[in-house]
Amino acid sequence: MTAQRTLCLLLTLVMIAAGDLKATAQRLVTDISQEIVELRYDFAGTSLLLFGAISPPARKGAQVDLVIGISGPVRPMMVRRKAQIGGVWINRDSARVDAAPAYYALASTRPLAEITSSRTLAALSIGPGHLPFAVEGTPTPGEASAFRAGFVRNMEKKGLYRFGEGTVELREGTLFRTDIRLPATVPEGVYNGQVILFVDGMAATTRDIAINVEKTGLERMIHTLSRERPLIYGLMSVLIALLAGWGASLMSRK
Amino acid sequence: MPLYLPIAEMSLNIFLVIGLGVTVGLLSGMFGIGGGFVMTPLLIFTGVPPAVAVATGANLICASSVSGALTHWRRGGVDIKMGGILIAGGAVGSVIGAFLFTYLEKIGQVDLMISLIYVLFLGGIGGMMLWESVSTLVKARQGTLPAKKRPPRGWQHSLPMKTRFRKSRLYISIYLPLGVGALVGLLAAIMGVGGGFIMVPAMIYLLGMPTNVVVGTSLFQIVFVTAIITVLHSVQTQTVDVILTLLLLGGAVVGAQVGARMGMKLKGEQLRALLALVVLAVCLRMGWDMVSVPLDIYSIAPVSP
Repeated sequence: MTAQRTLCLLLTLVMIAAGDLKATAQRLVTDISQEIVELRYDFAGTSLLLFGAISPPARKGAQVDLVIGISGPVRPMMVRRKAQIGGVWINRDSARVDAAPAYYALASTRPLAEITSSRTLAALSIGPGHLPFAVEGTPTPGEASAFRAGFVRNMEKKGLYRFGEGTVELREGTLFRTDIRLPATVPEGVYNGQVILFVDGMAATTRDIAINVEKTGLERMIHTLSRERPLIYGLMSVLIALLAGWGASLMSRK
Repeated sequence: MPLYLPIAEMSLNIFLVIGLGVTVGLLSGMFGIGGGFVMTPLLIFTGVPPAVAVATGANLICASSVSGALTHWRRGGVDIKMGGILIAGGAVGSVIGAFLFTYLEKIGQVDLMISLIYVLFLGGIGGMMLWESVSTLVKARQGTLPAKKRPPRGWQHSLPMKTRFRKSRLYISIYLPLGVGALVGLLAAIMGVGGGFIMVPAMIYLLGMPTNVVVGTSLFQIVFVTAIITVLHSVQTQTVDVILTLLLLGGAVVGAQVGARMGMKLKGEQLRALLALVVLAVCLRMGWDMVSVPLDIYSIAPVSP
């Protein structure tokens, strides 16, 4: 009898615990204003609206935060450092960055340092210091971090790396929105993003998103031709130049 | 209105691009020059990567020289044999130039080399032109204009492989035009210019060609050499932006019409002094960019293919 009652109690406890667990497992629902960005002749950069909801809302009193990271395609880059030689600034030392994304945007509800620990950030590869790429071939190993900072700074200046801490708006702990700005110079490719929900500083759940940036129309044709059939592209450029030059002279004579 | 350039992978204001074309067209119409040596630096100043500026510059010069070449051809102002040898030399020079360009791009020194060569050439030529035109202006005011002298004959007539150029009424070694062509081709590939500013003086003073065939033959070889360079850069560095070429050309055609009319109102010396000032201004700006402390000593560039 006692054993039966104990079992019953245990079962009830487990059921309650499971129910409670179910209640706290949040899901992220996200959407983006544009999943395909077309690089056309008049492309001057664009802003995407990324929005969504936390469902169900976290329990009352919990600290809810969102961190959104979006990285573009990987493009190997060179980082060069100038030195003054005989009065002239010359690129002297260089390093390679093979695995850095050509675009990276970060958005969060609050400064990252307030959301969670730097260990967690590093584990999730979030933030300027934790982007998952290495700098190789620096003159001395100790300079890697200086080259890395130089690289990130240059990318930031071009608007290709954006660190928008505090740019995610969260309403009533459930609805969120942020703008993802793509400058005119974004390269084509697949952009992968991740929305991470933090509850009380712990990563609770994530949601992946993807954006396709592609050249369209004439621009795509020109770019593809120039990369895949450079000889034909070159000959075509000459032919167009000759015809246009000749045509222009005919027009201006009239 | 912004315009996305597919090869430069950047957005430029379309009016800025056309305005650049007009400016360079104005200069070329006014002074009778190709204008490549103004176009390439101006493109670089607006933020176009130097490699794209050079390759696109060559493509543009090809387009803007073709009508002049055709006009001179019809008037019989082209020495085809001389032009052919200059082109052969130019082909060799531009291949060397394009390889040098690719190599320097790989080691990250192409911007420096473009600036350095521009500063040297623009400074030298601008300085010489300014000196010559100002002293002529001063002498004209004093009324002591010297008679023009024919250049003395020198070492260039002792070279072997002499051949006859009927149209130019010359009997000279083919190594001379080959060498001149190669030098101009090399510079054209590196600087994104037609090279008329080297070619024309070289034809007059070094080869001794009569002036009635100089401009036509120079344009004739420029069309071919810049065509070769366009193809070379397309294949090796993939930096020719044909959309940019067409827009610049559109502006340049309009500018050249206005410029030609403006040029007729000015005296030769005044024109040369003015051009010298433009050239020196571009030279100073490029020189300044080389010696002034950069905003960031770190810079980034895609790894060349």
